[in-house]
Amino acid sequence: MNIENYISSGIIEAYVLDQLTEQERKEVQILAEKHPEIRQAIDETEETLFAMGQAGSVAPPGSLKKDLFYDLGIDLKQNPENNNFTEEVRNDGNTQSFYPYLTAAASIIAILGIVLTFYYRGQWVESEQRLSALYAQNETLAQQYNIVKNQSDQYASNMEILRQPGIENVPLEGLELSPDAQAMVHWNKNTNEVYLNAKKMPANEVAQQYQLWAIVEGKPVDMGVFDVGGDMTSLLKMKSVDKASAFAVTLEPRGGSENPTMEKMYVIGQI
Amino acid sequence: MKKQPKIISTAIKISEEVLIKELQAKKPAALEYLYDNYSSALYGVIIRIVKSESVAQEVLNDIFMKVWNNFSAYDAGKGRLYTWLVNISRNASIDKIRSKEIKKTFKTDLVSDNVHAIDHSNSHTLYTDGIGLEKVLDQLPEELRFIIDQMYFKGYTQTEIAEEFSIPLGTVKTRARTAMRELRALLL
Repeated sequence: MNIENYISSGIIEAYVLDQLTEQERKEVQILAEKHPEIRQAIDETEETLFAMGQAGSVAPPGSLKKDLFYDLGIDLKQNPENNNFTEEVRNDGNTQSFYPYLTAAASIIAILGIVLTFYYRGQWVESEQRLSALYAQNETLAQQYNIVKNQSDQYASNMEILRQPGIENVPLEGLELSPDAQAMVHWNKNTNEVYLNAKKMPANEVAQQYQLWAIVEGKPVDMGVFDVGGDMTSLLKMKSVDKASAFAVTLEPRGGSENPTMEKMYVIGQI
Repeated sequence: MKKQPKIISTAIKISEEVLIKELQAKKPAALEYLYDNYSSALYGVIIRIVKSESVAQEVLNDIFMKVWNNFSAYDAGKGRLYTWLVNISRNASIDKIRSKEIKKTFKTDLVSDNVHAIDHSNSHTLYTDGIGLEKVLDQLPEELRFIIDQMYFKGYTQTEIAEEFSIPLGTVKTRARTAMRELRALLL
């Protein structure tokens, strides 16, 4: 069989245009498998046919596609494969859209954001509570500090007084009325100044006042009145006296008395 | 410039295998791809045969319906996807005009009267999109062009042409071969 004559006979064109009987078709197919030249001639004719089709292209109206796909029940807009298909075909089906990953990433970030919001809000509320507690604590400390500072200042000034030269300390002991009561007279014999420490005396009532007496030549001399209550750290400055044999404290009506009420004597101390 | 079309046709051939598989799996995206890439070429052939836009649309619609609902009718033995599509399109177009019995003595009258009317008068004004093909066909010698018209646009077999126009069958066959070779040289 002369292949070239066979190809030139025009049977290839008839084959490609589907103008042969079933038996003739089979014959061509069998020969094409045996002879690459025939296969090639078929391929080339098909290419030409396709090129003719492309050269003679006429675009059908857009509505035709819409109606066709509508009739087939294919929703063009809701078909997610539409956009990817062309690319998929060209890349042998390996291309994947990166949008699903982007969406997933965005969701994770959003969830993370919400979780962090609640976490930090919790932290903030806790911080706020701790801050209030610290403010309160700070205020308490400030108050305590003020008290301590006042006391400290008092002690400092007391020290000033007590360190002066010529000071004589006269302890006054409690009597029957109040055996636990104590007082201390700091008497400066150089300046005659008298200071009283009444820290360990019981508190007096409003209607009454304590009165300090100095015993001078057997007679009681008024040294001034004072109240006992609250912080008694500071030394009380009393009247001055140049000579005395003893000091005593009596409880008198507010304002003091001319003569001491002997039954109401709380403490006494001999020099 | 001559190499470019070959690269394109290779690319299409590779994708065709995937496309056929997807069509067999009835994937809507495959049908849309097929429509977007082949409908214009097929419509160009159909409209040249039926010479009516509304009828051509009807035929094209039927073809894609058939592809979608009965793709199993295609097998590799029928050639490339396009070859199969253009053949069923041509057959459907011819069936359409015959069934409509535009002319009762279709074969004798239409062949003798309207052979050149299609491309020479109507198509130039009506189907300007496909003007490229007409320019190419015009470059063919008259006797070759005649054979192409009869086979490609009328669906006549070589034997039918030989009988109808009293041309020796051997001559019809040789001209068919020569015409396709010349077209290939002009188009690719």
